[in-house]
Order: sequence, then structure tokens, then C-alpha cells
Amino acid sequence: MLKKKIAILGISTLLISIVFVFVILNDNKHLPSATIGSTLDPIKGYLVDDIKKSKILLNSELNNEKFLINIFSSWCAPCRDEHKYLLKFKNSNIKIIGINYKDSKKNMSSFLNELGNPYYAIVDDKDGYQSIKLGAFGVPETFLIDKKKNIVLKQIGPIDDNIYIKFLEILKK
Amino acid sequence: MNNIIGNSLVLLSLMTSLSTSFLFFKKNYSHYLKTYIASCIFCFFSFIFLIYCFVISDFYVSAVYQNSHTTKPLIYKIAGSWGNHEGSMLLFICIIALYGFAFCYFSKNFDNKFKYLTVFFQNNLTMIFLIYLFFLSNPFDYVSSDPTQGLGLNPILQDPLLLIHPPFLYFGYIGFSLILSLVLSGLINNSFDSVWAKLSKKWVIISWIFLTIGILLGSIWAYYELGWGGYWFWDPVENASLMPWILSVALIHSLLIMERSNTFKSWTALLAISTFALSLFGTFLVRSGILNSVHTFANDPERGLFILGIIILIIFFSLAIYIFKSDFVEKKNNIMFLSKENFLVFNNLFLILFLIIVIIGTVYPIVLSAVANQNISVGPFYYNTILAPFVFIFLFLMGTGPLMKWYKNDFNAKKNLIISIGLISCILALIISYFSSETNIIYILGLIFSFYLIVATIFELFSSKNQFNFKQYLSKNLSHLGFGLLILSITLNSFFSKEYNFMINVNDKYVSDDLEITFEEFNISKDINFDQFSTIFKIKTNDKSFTLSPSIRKYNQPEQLTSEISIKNTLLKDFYLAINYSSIGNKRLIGARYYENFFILGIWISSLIIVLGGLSRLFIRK
Amino acid sequence: MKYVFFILVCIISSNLYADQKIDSKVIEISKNLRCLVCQGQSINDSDSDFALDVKELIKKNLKEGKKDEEIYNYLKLKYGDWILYKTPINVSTIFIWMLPIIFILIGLRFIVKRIRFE
Repeated sequence: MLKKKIAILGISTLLISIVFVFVILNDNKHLPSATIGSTLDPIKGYLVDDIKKSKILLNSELNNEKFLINIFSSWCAPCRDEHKYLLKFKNSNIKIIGINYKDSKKNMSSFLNELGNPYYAIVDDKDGYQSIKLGAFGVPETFLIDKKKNIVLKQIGPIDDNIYIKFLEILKK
Repeated sequence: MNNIIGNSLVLLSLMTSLSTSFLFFKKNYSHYLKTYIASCIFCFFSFIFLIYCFVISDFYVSAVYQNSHTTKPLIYKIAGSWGNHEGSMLLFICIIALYGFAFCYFSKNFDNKFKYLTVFFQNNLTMIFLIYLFFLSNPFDYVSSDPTQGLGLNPILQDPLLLIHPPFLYFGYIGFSLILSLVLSGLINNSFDSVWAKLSKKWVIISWIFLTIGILLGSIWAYYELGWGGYWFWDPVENASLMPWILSVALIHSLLIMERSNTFKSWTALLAISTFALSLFGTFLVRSGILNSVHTFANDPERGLFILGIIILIIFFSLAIYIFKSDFVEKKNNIMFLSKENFLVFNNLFLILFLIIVIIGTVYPIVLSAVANQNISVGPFYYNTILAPFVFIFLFLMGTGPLMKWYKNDFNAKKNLIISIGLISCILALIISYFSSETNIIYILGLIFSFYLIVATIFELFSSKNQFNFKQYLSKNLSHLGFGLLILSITLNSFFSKEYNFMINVNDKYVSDDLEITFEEFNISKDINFDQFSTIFKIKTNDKSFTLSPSIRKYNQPEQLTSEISIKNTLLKDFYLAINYSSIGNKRLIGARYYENFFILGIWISSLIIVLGGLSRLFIRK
Repeated sequence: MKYVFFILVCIISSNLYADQKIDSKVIEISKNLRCLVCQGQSINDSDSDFALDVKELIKKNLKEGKKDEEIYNYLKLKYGDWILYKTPINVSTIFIWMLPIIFILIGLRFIVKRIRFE
């Protein structure tokens, strides 16, 4: 009887400690991304080379190719850091839709004039609804959309060397 | 230099602690207690020395470097010594030692074997944590980078309430370490009986008082400092302190049965062990960094594993001793239906239920996220929904139980009394609900049941036959009365409090119902360690008009914005205003949250009455 | 003229009233949502950009006449169960809703077995 009790105690202690070791080691503190795997909602914006800047449905504009969506803002300091990677993407012929988050047109154009414009199309997001549509938390954030218009990859925060390579691998596949 | 002194003090404490255990095994008791006390004193000195390092800002000491700054006011330099992982660990150990020290002092005429055993266990706890401290989380580590300035302390911790909140909480948590030692030595010494229950109850009540005050202070701090108008958010860190509190209340009540009738021993021992286990578990949850919370300020994931190991070790050995020694011969079916004991058993059942609700609400999301990679949130909605009905029943049992008699079923004789108390509380509830024109069913039930407890307790308080009787039940009556008032205040608060969020510019007005808020002026000023943006708002409600002046501070070390709220307290409600920088598009505005919080004062006062109940047990001799 | 004025006042005040109703509804809903970029705060209690956006979105949706459930569902679709402080009852959460009830039943049975009725 006593032996049995001790055995039960030992086993349950072991089980509980395993669970908690798992909890500690599993660093699941990154923000969960519920929109990964879902199809891109319709987004409206204008093409950068369109002088009239007329709003069109961008989803039908990009057919059968992988592209990026990048949320940016002129007041966001990390956006400046990641800008060079966006230009690199542009140079390898990857189209980027820029979502301009809570920004003024004036500030945005001086931002893009200063650093170069990597975007294929720009979506104006004054109130943040477009970002919520993507399941974003803030600026900067970058999404990779595949040929079927599904969101497959997401980067919260600025792009760095490793992330750039990771994105490029999937884009080139 | 100071690193060496600090480290030597810690090491001396560890060495003497090791020799204490050695002497115990050698059964050499002549210098046993003296060695133990020496180890405690070295421990106190090392903590005092750490405070000294903070005061003189010796940045070669790692804990000082990481958490202090020369521009900080002296009092926050001192508080900085326990506002970080290493320092708080040292405080933790000091308090274990302090309880052991106090036990030695107050147990002069105890049975020697029992005393030595208790000291042995208490000493081992000190030892384990000292080893952890010395090797893995040493506050006296040397900073080799020639620092001239420290990194500073999180500004929201720079608050007078937070000076005393963690020590109180620790005195509460760690008091249960002594209870654990007492249980284990009682079990081994075969003296786990009603005499044991009587002497341990005092220690349980002391820890419980500290814990209650600690939780209360935390809640008051959250209300005044965090600026979202609430006092309790069912946040994991808050829950971590609530878990041992609930268990300690259950323990106090089961000790009553044990003290009275020398039964219920096995259960009481288990409760006592679990109370300390949960205190440790709470510390682990907070310190290991597995929580996402507003309150976790001192945490570190790597050390989590080691703390976990220590906790598992302590719990495993305690439970093993418990299993070996808890084969008490107890009569079966010895509790009479509807006797006082029966109600105490119900008390334990409900408290364990509350505990389970708090535990699964806190732990389940963490485990689910780690095991199944699924993220769910458990918040106030869950706790309020599931607790409310059980709390109502609990209040009824709490009011009724004390009216019953020990050993016998006396329910029929008290039936009329119970019905009349019930009627009075219904009438009171209906009157209030009529005048407040609020008819929500939960609200009315909350009123009825809290009034039931209040009326029943007041009845008992004034129907005591003589002085002796009055004194004997005073502490119980005060604590129960306080709890009834607490639930009443919480109910009223949650149904009447109002909240308004709006954006405003200087000289603008916000109007809603019969409320008019004007942003009159603002001012920018400089202090030693922060810049301040202070404002004056004029508030006009239907019955009065007054000004509130909340401000925003920008601390410079580390750089952080905090919102300093402004409150006008009245007996019935608090007018509460918090501001922050905000914007719409490019327009910079002030975002304001204005609250009218009802019965906050009632919540603080009723909690104090609960504490007063505990204190009166300690200081009034029967 | 008086009559027109009266109607105007009615319309304005009813609009005001509706606005206040929406404001308190926004507070009610956003209290049940977790601010994902903060630590342990609800959307209502937070002033981060994210929280402000979600609050504005809720307000806009309410003005469009959307129901609470639709708003919760939309945000759940975008951010998962993690955002709902109002813990839904489903396969993964049924455990925390049922356990207290199961416990109290077992506990009561245990106590009844150990109690003497005569």
C-alpha cells in the first residue's frame, strides 16, 4: 500500500515536472498569427506608376505570382532600418504592396523620396483597418502571399538578414 | 571590494547552515541552535549589506548596476534592493531565516525533539535557496566593465506602496515555510495532534495577515498607479498570490476542527504542505518569466528551471514524509450532519473549489499553449461567471455555519433565526435595488447573500452571552463581517461604476449625460529624474464641480512614459482621471479616461476589517 | 418654426443618445478583448496604437449596425482565440468550464459518505 502510494507520488511529480519543463523551454511567447494560411481579403489601393492614383482592387492586379505586403509608416524608426531589404526585393523583381499606416501623404512621399520607393502599389490606411484585416499588430510587418493568394509567412517587426533570406527562399521556390 | 564582503557573508551563512544540518545528523545538540541562529544572522547581514551597496550606489555590484541610478531618490535606491530577481531572492531567504529565528525565540518551553526537527527543516529550506542564490543568482556578482552609472529601475515601480508590497507578500508566502517545517516535524515526532494545531494556528494566522495585507497593497497600487481604474484584473500574477491565500484560509478552518476534536489530521497536513507548495509555485510562475503580465517585473526564464527543480524537490520530500507518517487512526463518519464541523468541511470544499478555478484559469492557457500550440485567453469574464454562483452559496454557508453547534445537529432549533435573517437581507437588498433602479439578477443575488452574511455576523456579535463569548468569537466575526462587506462593495462597484474614454485638446469640452469635462490648462516642468506634463481638468457633474490634475511623466533612466492619475475621493465614489498622449491622424491630442468608481473605499475598508479579525486573534487573550 | 426646432432638437438629442450608447457598448466589447501588444491588459485599458485601432473599428462596426457576435467573430478570425478574454466554450476550453462543476459533485459525494446523519 505504502509502496504504491510512493510510486503514485513519484510518477505524478515526474509528469507535472515534465509538463512544466516543457512550458519553460517552449518559448511560445511570439504573437500567434491567426491569418497565416487564410486567403487574402480584398484590398484597395493605387499603383505607384498610376499618375491619377485611382483606387483599384489590387487582388486581381497580381495574378499567378508571389508577392509581399509591407506595413510601413514615415514615423516608424524600424521601418527605416528594413527599407534597404525592401529595395533589394524590388530589384529582384518582387512586387510589394505597401500599406501606409496612420500617416500623412506628405510625410510618406518625403519618406519615399529620401529612401527610394520599393512599392508596386500603395494602400492608404489612415485608421488601421487594413492592417487589422491582415491580422497585424503594428508597424513594420511583412506578409508573403503565394500564387493562390494565401498568406503563407509573416514577419512582425523589421526585416533583417536572416529574415530576408528566409523570405527570398520561399519567394524563389 | 564590496562584492567580496557580500559574497563572504552569503558564504558564511551557507557554511553555518550546512554545519547546522551536520550537527543535527550527529545528534550533537549542544551548539545546534546557536549555529542555526548564527546562520540566520549572517543571512540578515548579507541583505543589510546589499541595501548598503544600493545606498552608496556601488555599481561594481551587479544587482546595483542593473537596478539603480545615482539620480534616484534614496528611498527608491533602498527599494531597488528587492525590486529585482537576485535581491528579492536574498530577501526571500532572509525571511525564511527570520521565521526560523522567531520560532526559536518563541518556543523556549517546547519539547526539544520537536523544536530541533522544526529548526532542521527550516534550516534546510534556507540552505537550498542559499545554494541557488550563491551559484545561480548572486546579487554580489562583480561588474567588470568599470561602470560609472547604473541602468535604473522601472519607473512604475517607483511608488511608495511598492516599497512595502513585496516584503509583505514575502512575509506571507514564506510564513508557510514554517508551517511546512512544523507539519513535517509534527508528523515525524508523532505529535501531530490538537496541541500541535493550537500552536501552529498562530503562525498560520500571522502569515495569513501578511499575505492579506500584501495582496491588498498590490491591489491598491494597481488602482492608483496603472491608470485603468480597476483594482483586480484576474491577472496570473495576482492569481499567484491569491492561490496560497485561499488555501491558508482553508487551513485556518481545518485547524479549528483539528484543535477541537483531534480529527481531520491527514487533510490538515495535506493542506499545510500544499499551502507552502503553492506559495513556491506562485513565486515560480512570477519569476520564471512564463507569464505575460503587467506585474512581472523581476523574472528570468533560465533560472525558472532551477527554481522548478527546487520546488519539485521540496514538494516531493514533504509529500513522501506525509505518506509515510499520516496513517492516523481516525474514526469514520465522525462528523454530524449540519453540525459546526460539517459547515467547516463545506468551507474547505468551497475554498478548494475556488482554488481549483483560479489554478486552472491561470495554468491551463499556459499549458495548452506549450502542449497544443493553441492560444486562449482566460480573463475576468471566466472567473466572474463561474465564481459568482458558488460565492453566493459560500456566503450563505458562511453566515449559517457559526450559528450551529459543535458535534450536534441543531438546525431545527435555529430554523426561525435563519429564516428571519434571510428575510431581513432580502428586504435590505430590495430596498437598495429599488433606490438604485437596477434589477439585474446577479446584482440582487449578490446583495441578498452578502447582506445575509453581514446580518448574521452582526447578530452573532451582539448576541454573545458574556464577555468571554464576545472575545472568543470576535476575530471570526470581524473577518466574516469584513468578507461580507467586501463582496457587497465589489457587487455595488461592478454594477455602478461608469467609464468614459475620449480625446480632448486644451480648452475643449467633453459632454456626456450630466457630465461636463473641460481641459483648462497644461504645464511642463522638470524634476531630477523625470519631466512632467501636468494638466488641470474641470469636472462638472450634476451635484458638484471640482478640478482634477492628472499628469504624464517622462522618466529619463530608463526612458519611459508613465501616467500619473488624479483622484477625488468621496465616501460613496471616486472620481478618477488618467491621461496619456494620443493622436488622430496627425493631430496630437490628449486621450483621457474618466471613471466614477463606486465603493472603492468600501473595498479597502472591508479588507482592513478582515485583517483586523486576524490581528485580534493574535492580540486578544481568551 | 417652433415645431421644426423641436424636431431638430429631438433628432440631435437622439443622435447624442445613440452615440453615448455606442460609446458604452465599445467599452463593454473592448473589455472582453486582449490587447495583443500589451502585457495582460484589455483593449479597453490600453492606449497603444493597436488598441486604439481596434476600438475605432468596433465603433465603426457598431455604427454600421453590426451585432456584437459579428465583431467578436471578425476579430477572432484575424487574431485567433487569443484575443478573446471572454473565453468561448469549445473543445479546447470545455475543460475549464466543466472541471469546477465535476469537482463540486465529487467533493459533495465524498463528504456525504463521511457524514453521520443520525
